[in-house]
Amino acid sequence: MSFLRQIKVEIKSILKSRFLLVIAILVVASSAVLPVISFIVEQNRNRDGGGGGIVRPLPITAPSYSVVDIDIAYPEMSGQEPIVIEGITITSDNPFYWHINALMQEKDNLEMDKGRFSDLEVLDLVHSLIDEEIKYFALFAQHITEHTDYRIELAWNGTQKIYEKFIYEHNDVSADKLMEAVSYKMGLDPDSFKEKYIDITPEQRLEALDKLEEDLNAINKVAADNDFPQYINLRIQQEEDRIADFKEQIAIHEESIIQNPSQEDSLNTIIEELRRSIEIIETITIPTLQLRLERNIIPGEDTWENRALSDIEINRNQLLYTEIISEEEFNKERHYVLQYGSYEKYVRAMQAQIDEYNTAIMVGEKSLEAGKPDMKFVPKGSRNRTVEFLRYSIFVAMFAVLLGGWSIASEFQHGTIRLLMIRPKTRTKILMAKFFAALALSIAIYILGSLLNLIANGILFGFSDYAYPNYTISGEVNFVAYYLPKLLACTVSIIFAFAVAFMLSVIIKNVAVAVALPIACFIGCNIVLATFTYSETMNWLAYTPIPYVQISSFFTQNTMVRYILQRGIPLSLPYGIMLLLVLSAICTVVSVYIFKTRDITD
Amino acid sequence: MELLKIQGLTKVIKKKKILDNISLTVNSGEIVGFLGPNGAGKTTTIKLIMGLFRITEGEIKICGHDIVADFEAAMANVGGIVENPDLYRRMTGRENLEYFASMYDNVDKKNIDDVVELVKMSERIDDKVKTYSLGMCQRVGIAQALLHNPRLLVLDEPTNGLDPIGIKELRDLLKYLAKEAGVGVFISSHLLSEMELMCDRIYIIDEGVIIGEKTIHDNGESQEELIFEYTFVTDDNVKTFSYFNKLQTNCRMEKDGVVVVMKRSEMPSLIKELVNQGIGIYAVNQKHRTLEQDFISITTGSKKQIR
Repeated sequence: MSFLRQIKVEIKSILKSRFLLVIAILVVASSAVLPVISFIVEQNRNRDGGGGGIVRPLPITAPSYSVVDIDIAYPEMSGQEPIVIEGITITSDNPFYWHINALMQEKDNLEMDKGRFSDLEVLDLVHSLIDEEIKYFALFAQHITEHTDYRIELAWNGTQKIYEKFIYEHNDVSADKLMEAVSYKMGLDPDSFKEKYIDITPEQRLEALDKLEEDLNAINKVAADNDFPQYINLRIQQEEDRIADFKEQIAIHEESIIQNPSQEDSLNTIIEELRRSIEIIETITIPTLQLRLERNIIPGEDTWENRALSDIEINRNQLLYTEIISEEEFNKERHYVLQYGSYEKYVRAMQAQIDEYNTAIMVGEKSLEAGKPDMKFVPKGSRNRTVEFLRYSIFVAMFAVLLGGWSIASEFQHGTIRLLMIRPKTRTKILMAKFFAALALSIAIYILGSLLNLIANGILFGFSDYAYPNYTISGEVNFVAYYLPKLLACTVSIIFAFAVAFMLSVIIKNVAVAVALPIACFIGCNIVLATFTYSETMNWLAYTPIPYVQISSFFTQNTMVRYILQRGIPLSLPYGIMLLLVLSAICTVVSVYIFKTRDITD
Repeated sequence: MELLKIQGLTKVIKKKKILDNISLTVNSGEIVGFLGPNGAGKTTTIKLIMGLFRITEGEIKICGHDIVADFEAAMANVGGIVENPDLYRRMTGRENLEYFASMYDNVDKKNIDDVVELVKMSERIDDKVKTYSLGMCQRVGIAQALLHNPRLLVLDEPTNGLDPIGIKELRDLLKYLAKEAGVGVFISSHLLSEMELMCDRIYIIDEGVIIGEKTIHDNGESQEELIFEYTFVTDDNVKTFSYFNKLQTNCRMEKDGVVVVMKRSEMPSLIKELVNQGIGIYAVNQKHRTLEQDFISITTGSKKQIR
């Protein structure tokens, strides 16, 4: 009891130092100030429109898989004249504005470049083809005004049909001229062109035209009515068409193997690649589309469901392409041997990779199933911000080093130790009271700061995010249960830094050295870590305290420790925590022993 | 009653014997001086008593408690200052006292107010120590030593930085504590004159060895037995010199007179004799003794007294 009272007295005595008090207040306050700063910064960024001065017309490449987790900044064009086509006004912020603009320019340019065509009639054909295309896009532009709208993708997928329809409709023109005109817009092979579009019966032509008409109508309908289920059907249809196409190609290649056995190896590779593509479509793309329909997850919208879905898609894709090769093959691959050292390590690294993919898929599926997002799908949510703030432990560890280094050394430097050690308390008691007072203060500041940060994040970015669970291999955990153990683990870094500084304070009796040395060591650890991240040396460094001094780096993004873990180096967090605690205990015992046996001199 | 008992105390620092087999005692109600030049081992002895240094050999007992075996019980009975009274500069005088008070079981706010009153610091006790003069630090230093009503006081040159009035007050305070409260006081100094004014006994230490112990009964008597340097200014210095020379005393001619070193008690008869010889004496100056002379006088004096 009297020992606890003594600790209280010591804490009060530390805080009597105005310097330390001010620093302590600053450290605590920073935890609440940082979220406010990022809140203001993000608000400003949103107001700017996020252009950042980059001029980028349209995302030209039509994405075949809807990967939504990209933060594209679209330019906000002001001062551009709106385009008016058949009574439809298209303003410069329309997602199709630049494409339509470019098509119209193209028409003008063709006027100047007449010579490139064999005949003026061809030029006319190209003109009317481009006109068709402009009309087609203008229809979309009428209904679609947002850059993130899922229907944009549909628009791109339809252009081919416009061209085909154009060919069928102009059967009155000579085939050569028609081909010259259309090949200006799409790649054509003369033989197959004739076979597919010219040498057909009128019935076939009408049938094909009907089919195209129907398809285009369906596309237009989705665009006009925003018919999401219809969109999914179209997309599935598209994917099934692709499968059919791939299967056709496989059949052709298989045939050519029979005819040409010498090319078997290279053709087999192509076939294998095609089969994999089919597999991807069948097992990933189509089920994902069905899931979208089922849960009404509209692509393009910046929602967690989209992030979860694309995360599942990406990881399933990765999983399909990841395979562990046999030891024989491994030894043949020189760069693998160089990178991993041994087959065993390679297998471990690959297995870790596969586990990671599977976990990611599981987290995504569980989130969608429960309708409650894991924190990884809410990257700017309160949970992520709070977990990222575990890094704060290093900031507090520096403060703990300051306290520890100052604690005993300042008594020696100011001579106050002589009035302190003549009290009826053993040296061990006095030293331990000072030790636990400064340590308790450091940890209290850490917990208090983290709590403040948690609340500030909640206020600024929404408390509701905290209510969602996280998903782990062992099941669903609520955020408190997820966060608290990590917070406690991070205090171990603080304890270790403090114990080292305190020991130096006792041994060296100089505040500056006792504070500077641990900080220098910490920086040294980071340098060593950065230097050997990708080296064989890391294998034994994993057993030293060096990778563990900053425990928070196990929990936060983009840290050296994360990269090392990805390489399959056996960094173990429980081992690291135990190691730091044992070393801290040793430092403390050494401090007590030296302080007890040595004469008190300045 | 023996409040402090040191027996066979030896301290070795870096293979050098700083203290060699020291023994001394301080009794209840007694003020004991500890005299020695700089580097003699005074502060080392005090640091050993106060537990700042580890004992190489021998033992120290405070109120019967061995300071090694029973540190806390021993230290509960002793208060003191070692070297300068270095207080926590970031705190006020009162906060310093409160901090030290927290380490005793029997000290409350009233005790703190009392000792502050006693050392006359009431006006400034709530100011930061940063703003204190050395004398004020010394007063707070004495206050913290008295905080827990110790039975033994150990003071290391406590008059440093005090003004003459402060020194007088401290002297009176220590005498009062010794006579009225039965406190034992162990006080180190390199000024004999200061010691003589308040001490009952003096130990003299030099090069780590106690070279003398002197009991002072009262100021007058002790002065008589001490040896001083006297300068005789006469109308015939040569005759005076030859007279002293004949007596085989320690004497020499200087430009302002004849300098003689001798015991104070011999002076009246000598002056009478000189006058009888027809020498006119303008003045006899008793020179203030230097520390060196103190030692000479004390050691020779004590040797005569103690067998």
